[in-house]
Amino acid sequence: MIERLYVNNYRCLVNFELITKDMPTALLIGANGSGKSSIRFALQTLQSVARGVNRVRDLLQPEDFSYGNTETPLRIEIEAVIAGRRYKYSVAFDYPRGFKELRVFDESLTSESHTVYTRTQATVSIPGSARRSEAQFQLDWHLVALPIIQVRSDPDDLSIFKDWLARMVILAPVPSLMSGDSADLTLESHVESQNLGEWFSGLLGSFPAAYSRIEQYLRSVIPDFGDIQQVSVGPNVKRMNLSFRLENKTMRIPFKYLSDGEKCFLLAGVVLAANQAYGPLFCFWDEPDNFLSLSEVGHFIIELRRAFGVGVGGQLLVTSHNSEAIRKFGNENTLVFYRNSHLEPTLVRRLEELTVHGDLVEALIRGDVGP
Amino acid sequence: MIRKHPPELLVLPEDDENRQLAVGFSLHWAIKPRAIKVLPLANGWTKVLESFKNNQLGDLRRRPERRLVLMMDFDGNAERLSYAMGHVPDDVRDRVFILGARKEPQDVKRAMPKIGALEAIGTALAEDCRTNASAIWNHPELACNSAELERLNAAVKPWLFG
Repeated sequence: MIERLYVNNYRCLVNFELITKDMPTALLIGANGSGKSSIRFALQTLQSVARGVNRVRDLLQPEDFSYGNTETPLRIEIEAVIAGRRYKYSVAFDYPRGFKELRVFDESLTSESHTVYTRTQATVSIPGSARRSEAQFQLDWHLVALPIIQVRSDPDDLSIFKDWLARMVILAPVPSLMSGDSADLTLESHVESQNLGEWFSGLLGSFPAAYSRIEQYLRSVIPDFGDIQQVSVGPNVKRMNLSFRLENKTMRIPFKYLSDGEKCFLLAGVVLAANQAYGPLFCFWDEPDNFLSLSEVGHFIIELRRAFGVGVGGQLLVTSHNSEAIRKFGNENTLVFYRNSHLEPTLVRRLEELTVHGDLVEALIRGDVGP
Repeated sequence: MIRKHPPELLVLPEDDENRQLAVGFSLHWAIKPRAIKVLPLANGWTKVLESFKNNQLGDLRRRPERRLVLMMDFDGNAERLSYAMGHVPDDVRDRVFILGARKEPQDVKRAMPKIGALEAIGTALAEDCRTNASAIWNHPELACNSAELERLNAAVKPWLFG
């Protein structure tokens, strides 16, 4: 569970702290441009690092500095509790004059009170332990250390943290880009869900019992759902088809012919099954209500909240502008983002700390939710 | 796609506090998926009755598998329940239930600091229902619901909890 995300000098996030401790599920609301999706981009940057992208220019551009302020390092910090242990990862980048790309300014990973490694510009330090002496080495300052270094410890803090970060589920799905084809297996979802077929295959390849959770969910939301079949359409390529049944009739439909909403139902089924199979996972879903009919939005959000809820494990953050989705969260787990202008940074407050006159949704329509 | 109409419980909340209680109830782990739907706010207990008459009643008659909870604050008025029930026609009375806080949900929240949030109280109320307990329902701020709760439990419990 992420307890704190700190971002400084990144897009509209300046000295920005998001506290989500004790919030298994939370809703992020705010006007367009208030900074909700910037949280996603910051998390995606960390996730890319954990998935092996280590060249800084592949992660960030000079335009990512807030308001062109390259005098101050751009910093992203995450504090999370994973399997009962508290991890903190911090990475900062600067852009000295004359440089063609950003470089790593400093970087560190700690587990509980134990330092896994620290790094200042090109110098990486791994503290000594009973089994080994302190190590120090130089690393190209245009490379992030996290994907590269190896540190032996018990428990293997580096791997635990990296795997958790890499397997975060960050979603802003685009149904027209979703593919039911799979040439590979993976447990790592893509933001736009282009690799849904491969994620589905990877999930079932590693955890075959996960299919029953997907099936259970799809049956509840699509009463005539039959099953999912993967057929070979070329060397090592499988294509996903879904069947639908009514009495003794069956119809099989290629994944690509499903409606946008139905593709999102399948995605939700995979998210629920993944959290159960190899979670607890962290999931950030940007506008999960997109593409869903009004009668489905509430059920969709409640099902996700139950799957990531109190005592279940995992964590779910969603953004939304949809009144049905917004009404499926309480004041204690709703975070309001606001920003007075494009020239000012994002601020966040818990809804319970704000005064809302009357109905929240009406206040949002009026533009009256904020300090 | 096909349309099926399994039993369902609709909740029409008077205001946002009642909505949070209802959402918390629906988040309970044992509630059957899709069995509860919390409707948009009525914005006032008299509006609950108006919405019931103008928006809900017709479809309730068409959908015999549907049950409806009207959630309203009793504002300390012991007569409000019978007054509100007077607006429920006889032909649907066995499927309409009226629940609410003795005064208002904020009083319930203040009375239960250990549970805290309204959502969490709603979930705790669902747990009471599931286990046939009444630790929370019997609290003085909620005890006014005992007769309606008994009716509701008898009507929905066989299918509400999975």
